[in-house]
Amino acid sequence: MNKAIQHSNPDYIVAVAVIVLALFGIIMVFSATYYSEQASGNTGEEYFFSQVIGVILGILVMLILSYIDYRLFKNKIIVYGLLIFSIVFLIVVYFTPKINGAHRWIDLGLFYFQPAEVARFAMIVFTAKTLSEYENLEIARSWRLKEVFSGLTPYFVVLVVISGLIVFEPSLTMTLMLIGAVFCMLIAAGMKWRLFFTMGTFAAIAGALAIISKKWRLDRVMIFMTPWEDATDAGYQLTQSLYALGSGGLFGVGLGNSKQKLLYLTYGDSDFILSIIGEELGFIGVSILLIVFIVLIVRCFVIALNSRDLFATILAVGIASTIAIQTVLNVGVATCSIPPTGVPLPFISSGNTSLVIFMAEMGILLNISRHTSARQQ
Amino acid sequence: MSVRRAHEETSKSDALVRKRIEVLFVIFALLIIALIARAGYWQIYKADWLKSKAQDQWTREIRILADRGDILDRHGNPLAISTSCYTVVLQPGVIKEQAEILNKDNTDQYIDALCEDLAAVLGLSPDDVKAYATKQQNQVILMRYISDKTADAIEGMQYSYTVEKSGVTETKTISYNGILINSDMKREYPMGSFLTQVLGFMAVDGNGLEGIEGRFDKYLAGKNGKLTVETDREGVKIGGSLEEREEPVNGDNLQLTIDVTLQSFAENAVEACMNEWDPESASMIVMDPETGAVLAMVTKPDYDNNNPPRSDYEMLRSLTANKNVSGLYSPGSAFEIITAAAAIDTDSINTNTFFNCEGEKTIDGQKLNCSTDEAHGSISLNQAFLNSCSVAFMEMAEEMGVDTFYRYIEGFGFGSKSGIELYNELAGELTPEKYVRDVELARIGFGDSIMITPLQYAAALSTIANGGERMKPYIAQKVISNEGKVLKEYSPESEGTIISDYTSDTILEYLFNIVDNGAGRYCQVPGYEIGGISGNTAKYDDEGLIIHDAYTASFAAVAPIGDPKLVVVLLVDEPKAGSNYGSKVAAPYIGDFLEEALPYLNIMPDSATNENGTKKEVPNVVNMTLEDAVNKIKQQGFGCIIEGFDGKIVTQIPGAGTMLEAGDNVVIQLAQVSDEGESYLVEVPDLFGLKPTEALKLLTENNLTMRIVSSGNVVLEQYPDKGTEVLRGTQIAVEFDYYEDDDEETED
Repeated sequence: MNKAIQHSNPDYIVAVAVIVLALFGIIMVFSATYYSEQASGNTGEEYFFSQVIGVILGILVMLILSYIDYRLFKNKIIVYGLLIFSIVFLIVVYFTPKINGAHRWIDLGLFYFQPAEVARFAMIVFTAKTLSEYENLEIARSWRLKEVFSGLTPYFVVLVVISGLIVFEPSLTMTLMLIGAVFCMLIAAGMKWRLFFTMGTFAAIAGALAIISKKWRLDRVMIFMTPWEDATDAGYQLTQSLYALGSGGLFGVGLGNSKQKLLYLTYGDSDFILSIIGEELGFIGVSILLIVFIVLIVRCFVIALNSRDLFATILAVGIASTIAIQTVLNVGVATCSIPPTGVPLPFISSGNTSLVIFMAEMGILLNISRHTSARQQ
Repeated sequence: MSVRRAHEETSKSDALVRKRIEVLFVIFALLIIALIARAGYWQIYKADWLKSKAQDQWTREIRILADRGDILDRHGNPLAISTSCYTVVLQPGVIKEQAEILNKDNTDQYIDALCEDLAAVLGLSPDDVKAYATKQQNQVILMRYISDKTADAIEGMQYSYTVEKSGVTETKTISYNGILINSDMKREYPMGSFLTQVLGFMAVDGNGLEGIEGRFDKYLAGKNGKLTVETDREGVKIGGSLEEREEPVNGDNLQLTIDVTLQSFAENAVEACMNEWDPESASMIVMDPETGAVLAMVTKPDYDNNNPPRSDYEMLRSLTANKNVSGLYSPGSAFEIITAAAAIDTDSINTNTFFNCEGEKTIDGQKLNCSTDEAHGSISLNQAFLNSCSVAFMEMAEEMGVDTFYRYIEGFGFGSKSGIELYNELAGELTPEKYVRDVELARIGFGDSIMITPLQYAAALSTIANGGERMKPYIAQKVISNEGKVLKEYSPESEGTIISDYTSDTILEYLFNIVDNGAGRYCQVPGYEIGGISGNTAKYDDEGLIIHDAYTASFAAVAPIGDPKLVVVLLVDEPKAGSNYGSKVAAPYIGDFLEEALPYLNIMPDSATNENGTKKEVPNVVNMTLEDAVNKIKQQGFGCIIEGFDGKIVTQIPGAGTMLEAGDNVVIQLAQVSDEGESYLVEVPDLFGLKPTEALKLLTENNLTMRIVSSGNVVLEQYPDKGTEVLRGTQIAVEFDYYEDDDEETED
């Protein structure tokens, strides 16, 4: 089989797209934070330098990983090491002080470390390894849910433990993104649609019950339907985000000229960076950005299709899905299309853990792209 | 598993995986495309709506206060003026936030420093300031009406603190955060307790509420402008952002018919009456009978308009009532001139008619007593007035009948509002014509069974005084724009002729007799012929029963009787000390008033009657050339002393018509005069250091008027200088300045 595989160049489109997005992120983070940082007595360049460091680090990690054979992540020691590392830090994070009301970050002085980001990556690698083993693949493609669960019990135990730890941080959104990526991998591996929909229905019912059980939770979830009814409180960020988008119009007010970033819109550097982009660069800027994301995501799936083995395929699907899900959630919140939640925009938003992990994943993907399958030739 | 089988499986599985991956990326691509469309919905379809809402939150409007128009007297003296000032507002939340930014562990450090600095500038105690600075409110008003100097001092305040940066201690200085200086307007009434009810007062928010301030608010208020600026969420102005300024439209000035000098004479007279008789209230109205213009209007007790008793609403409301238009009283014998005027005008009686008084009269089965217990017997009209014989006037009313009498009563303005530009005017109480029986008619004849206002009476007496023409009373003279343009002018308005000249003259003759020989003698002023009539009636409670020992006493006068220039009515409500007769309680104060008012109006007292043939009359030389005047004076055998250098003769002492011995000197004064002519020269007094009220009083006493160049609380400069001789009535330009700091220091 080795004959059928040839080494080739990495997928330059993906590499270029990622670097362009990351550099664009530096500019937008700087634009979004300069005024508010100055207003709170800082120089205004803090976020800029932090983001520059994150991008440099990310590109280095991406380059290094693109030269390391991805099969390294098939290695048991690496996979279980990653899982244990994640679980340990997800536990450690409980014993660190709360930041913004949750145990999600560990303050490492230079930057905040977010164990859940690593855990998601570890889970994707673990899923890819599990499903790429032939016996497991057969089980995953069973006709009965019971068979799937009983056949893959150790796998699901790990999934439940890690998801559970993240849920109780609390970070429901991160859990959903993790499970979403895992589901995409199961679908790609060939899980029966019927089982997928059965599980999906159960999950939806459970989620709906959790939401309806508390009135405030329901209100918070449904606020995106009527943000103006509570524009000063629960709907504040959504309405401010829309003001930014609307003020930008078709062409935008020009880079650096956002008014919404003058303390009106909070989290303009992370969860709502798309709003500031929309205000400064207009609908045209937003469209170009999102088209770049589509190109990137489609290319990632194409790499998955062209990879030389099932592990690479499923791993690539996991990585591609992670980026796609998070992009959709972020843009969905900023455009007031889904219930509000705080999700950074991949490669663009400030936040170094997320940035470096995404870049690392892209490095792995690039390495996969170097080993294309002969079937495509 | 054979290699081949495995290979087949892989191929099968490949096909499935391919299909699945294609499904996934199509779904994601479609989702993102949908989100692009969603962004387009907001950024294109909803863009304008969102942008305008966003614009609203980025911009703040700062009010630019319009200057409220001044209220002036008929000569342009200020009665109410506006001065710009500032209000200090604290933002406790912002103060706390700033304190936390500077030193999270000890926020008091910043707050205390702020309070101490503010307290020092404003003359308050730091603890009081701190109580405001730590309130649980967004904004609190700390102090109003501060001067621009104090405002500058506050804006210049700085906070110094030390920071340790890598071992080096550094001192930093910043401006305080959380103190706002808002521009404001202060209404000042330079004369204090003066014309109180007529001027009214303003609400704390700057809207005119009562009196002229309320009634003419639409002219006085102007329109506030605004400054629209872009700010961040904290309200900090964004550098280089657009700024829209809408200039305020300043209010127009209002000139009243009130004469500040006559008003101050009237205030003094009423005050004297209040002190002597301790009544519930006393009200005086002075009217120009030729025009119906109100020259003075007083109601006491009153309050300082600069400081209305806002805390006590009931008291404020009762003190705000202008009794001249809203105080009803039963006129009593004062009404007899109306009855007589109607009777004479209709030839129902004449001056030779005699009436038979038996001390009482029974009508409709009711016995009505005459004013005195004993019968007056056969009595002439003149004696009927002098003795206030009710029976005579009952007979006059009876003789005329309801139709005729009512035509006159209503013609004189009783029973309806005059329409003067004041709030709360009452129409009085007049029984509708169809319900009037003989007994009511007779009662009205001597001034009972009718309730009137002092204004109505003054207007009716003016009609009698001016030869019979009903002039509509008015108090507003002109609305003048800031540029000096007259926007609206109120001119005298005739509402028809009510009585003939003859009737008018006849009644005036009787009025003169009352003052000359009768009860009105308390109002005599030496050298003047004055007419007048008193009224005094018991007060009735709500059920129509007489209240024991509660009376209203009134007196009304016309002066001078030969050529009436002033009509004065004084109503004293429930005098406490001793008398209840209008002739005693009210007449002397009208006398006091006229004694000052008539010379002020250049109506000089008549000299003693010509008793000696050697005396000759001084000719009138005012306005002549010097040569003609000297000739004319010499012709009569008088000496001539000339004062002044050139110009016209503005005055002569003694006045024309005075009888002098031959050889006595006549002093004539020359001066450059305006076309308006007759004037005395007066010396400008020294105003330096006086308060506005004192300055205006002093100028008024010297027959000068004041023009305020710049506002303040102490006179800084004046023009012309003290000691300069100027024409009477000249406007002295006065520059005020604020010296409240000094005041506070002396208080400390």
